[in-house]
Parts: sequence; C-alpha cells; structure tokens
Amino acid sequence: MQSLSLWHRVEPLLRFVERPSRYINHEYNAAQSSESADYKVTLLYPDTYEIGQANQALIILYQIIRDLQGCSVERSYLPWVDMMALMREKSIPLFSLESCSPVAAFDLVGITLPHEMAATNILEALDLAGIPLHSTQRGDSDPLVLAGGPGAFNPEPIACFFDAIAIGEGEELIVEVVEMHRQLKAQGANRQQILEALSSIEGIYVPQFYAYDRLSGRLEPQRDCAASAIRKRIVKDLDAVPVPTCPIVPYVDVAHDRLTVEILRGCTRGCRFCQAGMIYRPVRERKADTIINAIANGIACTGFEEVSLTSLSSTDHSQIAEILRRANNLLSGTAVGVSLPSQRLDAFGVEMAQLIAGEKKAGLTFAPEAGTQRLRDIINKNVTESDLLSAVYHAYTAGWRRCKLYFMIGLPGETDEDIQGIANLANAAYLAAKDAVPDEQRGSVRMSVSVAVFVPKPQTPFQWMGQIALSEIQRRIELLKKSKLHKGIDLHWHDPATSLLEAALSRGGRETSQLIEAAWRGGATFDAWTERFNLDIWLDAARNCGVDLQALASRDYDCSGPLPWDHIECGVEKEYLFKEWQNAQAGVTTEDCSFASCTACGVCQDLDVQIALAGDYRG
Amino acid sequence: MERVVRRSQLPYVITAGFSAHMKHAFGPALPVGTGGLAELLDVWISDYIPVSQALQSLEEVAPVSLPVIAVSYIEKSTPSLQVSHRYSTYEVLLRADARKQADIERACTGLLASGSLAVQRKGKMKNFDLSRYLGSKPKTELMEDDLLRLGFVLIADENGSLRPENLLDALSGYPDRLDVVSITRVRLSDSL
Repeated sequence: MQSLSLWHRVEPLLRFVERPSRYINHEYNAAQSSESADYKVTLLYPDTYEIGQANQALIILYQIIRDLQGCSVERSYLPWVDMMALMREKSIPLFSLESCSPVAAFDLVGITLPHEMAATNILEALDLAGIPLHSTQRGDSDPLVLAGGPGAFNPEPIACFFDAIAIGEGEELIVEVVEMHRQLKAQGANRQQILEALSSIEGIYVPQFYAYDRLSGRLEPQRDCAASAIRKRIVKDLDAVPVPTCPIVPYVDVAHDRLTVEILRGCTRGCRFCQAGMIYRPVRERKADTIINAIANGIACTGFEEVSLTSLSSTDHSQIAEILRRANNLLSGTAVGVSLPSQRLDAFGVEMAQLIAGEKKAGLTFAPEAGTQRLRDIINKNVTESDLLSAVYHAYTAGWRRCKLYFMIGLPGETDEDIQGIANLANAAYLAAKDAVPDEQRGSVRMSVSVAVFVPKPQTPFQWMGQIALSEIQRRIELLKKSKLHKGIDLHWHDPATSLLEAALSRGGRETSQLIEAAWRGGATFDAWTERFNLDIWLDAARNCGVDLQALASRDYDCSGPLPWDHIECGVEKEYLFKEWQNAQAGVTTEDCSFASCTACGVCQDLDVQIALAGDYRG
Repeated sequence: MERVVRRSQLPYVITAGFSAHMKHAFGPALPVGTGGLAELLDVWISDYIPVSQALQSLEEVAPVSLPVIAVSYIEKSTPSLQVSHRYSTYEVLLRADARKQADIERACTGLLASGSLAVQRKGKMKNFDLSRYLGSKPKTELMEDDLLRLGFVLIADENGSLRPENLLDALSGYPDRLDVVSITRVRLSDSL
C-alpha cells in the first residue's frame, strides 16, 4: 500500500468540529505507520475515539499485531456526527489514525463488537469507508472484514456484514488469521479461496457459508470446509500471555483513562443473567509476581496516574490481598492510585477496604442486583443483605463517603415486593454507611442507586425467556420512584426504550440484519448515546420490515427447540444452561466451581482447559 | 504533560490533601483546534537535578509531537504563568494568493481603524478594545504553494482574551471566506 494519507484534507476540518483531538493521532506509544509493511491491519472500534481508545481487547490485539514481522497495525474510530457530515460533504472516506489512510485500503479491517447498540455504527463505518455493506457484495480489492468480541456469541443479527467472525479469545487466533490471509494474498488467492481457508481455523465463523435449514430450524453449513458448530478459542495459560504494559497514552480524557492490568479472566460465580460469566469461563488467574511487574513496567512506560486491576470479579483473585498490598507499597508516594472496577460484596471486608483505599478513595461500586434474597437466589447472585451492610459499613469506616449500588428490574420471577425490596435494601445500606462515620461527617454520606433493565442474553440460563413489556418496565420504575428511598440516596435508571432495542437485537436471528440495515438507512447511528438514540427510527424500520420490536424483545424460545446461536459454542453446554434455568425457577442456587466442586457446565471438558488459580484453592 | 513528567522519573512533588496529585501548573490554555509550538508548564521537584539532565529525562519520554524544548529553574516567588504570560503570538496558514493578501491587509486596516471587536460568548456580546487586546497590526507573508502566513499577537488580561478565530472571523466577514489550513501559537511570553 502506497502512502495514501488524507491528512491534508482532514486537518482543515478540525477547527470546525468538536474535540478535534479525536482525529490527530501521535499519542505516546502509538505505532508508527510503516509503509514498508507488506500486510496492514486497522482495528476499528465502532464508536468515538474516547469510547474505544482504552478498549482492552484492542490494546491487546494492537500489541500482538505490531510485533508481527512485516505487519503494521493502526486504529480507526467512527468520527462524531459533526465530523462525519463534513467528511461526507468533502468526500473524505473513513481513515485510520496513524497514517490517516483510507480504511478501505487496508488488508484487514478488524471490528470489535462491544454490544448490540453498536450495530448501526458498524454499518455507518463500512459505508463511510466505502466498503460494500454485505460480505457477499465484496470483491478481491476490498479488505477482509473481521469481527470479534463479546457480541460474537450471537453473531447472526450482524453476521451478513462480515466476511469472518472470530469466536472467543483473540490472542492466538488473530495471529493465525493474519498469517493465513497474508500468505494467501501473496499467492494471489481470490476472496472465496481465502474465506474457505479461514473457515478451517478453529474459532472462525464465515457467515456466508451457512444458511437457514427449514427442517432442522438451524443454520447449517453449505460448504465442506465449514464446521457444523464453531467452538470458541481460549487462552489456556493466561499467565504466560504478556500483559500489554505500553498501551497508548491519550492526550485527552477518554473512558477508562488509566493503566489496566487484567489480573484474571473468566468468572464462575454463575450469575444466571450474566453472559460474560458464561462466555469467558473458566477462571484463569495471573500470578501476583506477574501482576506487580506489569504494574511497575506499565506505570514507567505510560505515566498514568491510576492503575485498574481488571477482571469480571477482581476481589475473587486468590492472591488479591497480597497483590493490593504489594501494589500499594510499590506506588507509595507517587500519587498513583490503585482501583478495582467493582467489588464483590461477600469479598469486601475490613482488610479489603483498607487495601483498596490506598492514597485515593475513588468511587466504590457494589452490585446486589436484586432487592430480595428470593430474587437473588433466582439469579444465583449468592450474596446476602448482611454481606451488603457489612461491606458498606467497612467501606465508610475506611474513609469512603460515597458508593454506588447496582440493581436490575425485570428479572425473571420479579414481583412488586422485589421492587420495594430495592428501596428497603438501599435504605438499610445508607443507614449502615451513616453508622460507620463520625457524627460530624454524616452530612457528607452519599449513595446512589442505579437501576438497569434486565436484557436476556444468549448463552445464559435466561436465554429462552423474553423481556417484560415496555409498559410494565415503566410501571415498575414508577413503583421504585414512589418507594420512599431515603432523601440522601440518588436514584438513576436506564432508559427502558434503549433496553427494549437491546433485547430485540440481542437474541435475534439472521433476519434481524434487515431491521438493523433499515434503521441505519433511516438515520440511526450512535444508538448507545442518549442524545442520539431515537426509538421512532427503529419503530419505523420495524414496521417497514414487517416485524414488531416489542414482540422481538419479549419472545420466548421453546426450551427444546433450536436457537439462532446454536452453532456458536462457548463451551458451556446447552443442557447445563437449561438445568440452571430450572434451578432458577425453583429458587435453587448453584455454587462457584472455583470455590466448591465442579458443577458440570462442560467448559473444561469441551475446551480441554482447567481452572488456573495463582494461589491456594479458595474452597 | 503530567504523564511525561511521571515517565521521566524526575522527583516531582505531590500535593497534600484528600486527592494527592503532582504539583504543576500550566500557562494559559490553547484554544481548541489550535497548535502550540512553545507552551509552558511549571513543575515542582523535590531535589535539584541539573538542567541538562532534567531536559534529557523529559526528552526521552515525550511524544514525538509533544517534545520538551527547554527546561529552566525559576524562583519560588515567580508569579504563576497564568498571571505573567499574557502575550500569545499566533501564526495562521491560509490558502490565498496576492489578491487575497491585499484583501486581508485592507480588512486588518479597517478593523484597527474601528478600534474594537465585538464577540459573542455564551450568548452574550462582549466588546474588546483592540488597543488593549491586539499587540500590533497583523502581518501577512505570501509563501509557496498559494499559502499565506498571517501573524499577530493577542493579549490576555484579568477581564478576558480574544481568541484567534475571533480575529479571523472579523477579517473574513464570515468564517468560510478564509480558507484556514492551521492556527498555531508560536510563542507565549510575558512581554511583547
């Protein structure tokens, strides 16, 4: 690829747009654009720079591809609407940051699928790039458009827009894809030959090789090269995978603007609503020494003022106390804070409160999820009211003065008593917080309650059931608003209309792509942005496609029938999910297999992997 | 820049208090979308480090597009940059030919003759006395490739400051008339 820089056309636009820093590149640790590379990749996040810049998957993949001999890697983001309007007016295509080259000129465009609400942004990005929307419309001169990320575990709603979709963890898979594609391109292979070859890589799904079979009700492979099911890829030894310690340091505030060190991957707590808890199994921890080295090297290489020890449940790490103690010692006197993304209630005691406090006391988040023990048992949250009160008490005793409590409404089996239970539990937590602080500081005690609407997700025990109706969600929110929360507690709730769309898309089949495309053609983009989301566009699109958005969101699937994502295997068996669904209905809880015995979810056997704890077994 | 200083491993001072952070202070902020070629930052350090060594430590870890140019020690009693460094020298690159250059120079003369510039900020009109807020008559210079360099100094005080785009808007009548390629602050100083 010759130098195709569009900078001379982009720069004059910058003074007319919001946050021009989104488009300027040149941050510390950014890769140099390499014109000598014979294979060029751009990793595209389908939202703005400040949302996607710190995405952990992209940080990992960026580093891996950069280290491959002869390959270069760049970043691309969707410009905000003001910049897009100017670009379309001036016929400037979507560009990468590092070399400001057209995205369509790369060999591979890797797009992450962060959540359902990014669907229209993917189409906007492809269109702005000048890449045909549908995989089947692309020719040999178009780049390979690859997807990956949590959204890939039900890829069907956006499958037709991608040439290939990576299922599971990408550390090893991306190298195999890049090397195979590069080799085949060098040999002059055509697009179909390339896709056939890629479909032989474990974990790669090539949607155009599958078609809906009326007899089985499933998507069935149409080529010999395509497997009947695509099994997720997994890194067996996380500790052996290098932690990215020199990520890009942005010039401006971005979401998650800090050094992130992933201390463990997977979570086997078994919350029945949680897709991440199912698709990232099993638990694999990094060793304390590895983590401390990564913190030291990462701060030295970036200068960040905060390090976050990330995972799905960081306080569950078997060496978490040692890690926090050593990190606090290492960073003492540097004004660099250590944070955890959220705290497990039953793992947050006196010691943890003191260790997390460090020099700075940023916000603290606890997630009881439901207001009553009955409902917490249904969702298998496995925490109690006394866990919450104890955690809050210890936190406020250790010096915190504000915390956030997360709940969901619309969970299976929820009644009005459970809604009132949210208020009761929050009020009790607030009183526990006040009890923990000296009298003269009680006025500074703050607490907020955030309520999300439950969205049933594929690959979970709740995958068969629909979301409750929009009108019922609104009634329950009103009930909560009237439920006499203490005046010191702020209540926030997620927009029910957004959750309706999320539910309609999350469990959709291949036909859902028509709805997404119609909504995008109707003007929908940036649906995850409150100020941009417009339900009317989606309702119009649904009408034009002959579907009912509410019906899509609320549909129940037959537990014995096929599901649109049956051909995507995350390792957790469908029979296990069904057993868990039955346990939920009976209010029976299931233990965490990294604390107790195996619960036979199937992931270790199917993927030939084991729980890997760095410290002692936690049971 | 705070992250550059931390990467340099200079012995920076930390503030006391609830939210401890590096003790540092910037000069007047650059307008959004404007480049800077000589910005200033005060940083407190706890031990004496020779200037050349401090500069080298910073140079090694600064982004290529945000190089550290010079380092010097100042007295503790020196007023803050916000107070002392009020003179901003800007260079604007425009696409223009000799005819356009003459138009711009005529506009400059007219603007200075008017004596003031009215600017709308947050819905309110504010009048800037050009003898106080504009250092001298803007200068133009034709360059290669149909580019014109427009140079001027803007002065800030406790009552406010003109932004370069305010001046450009006034010179063009409306923004799209001037084909601006880039705006850069090339000097920030305590006197003209």
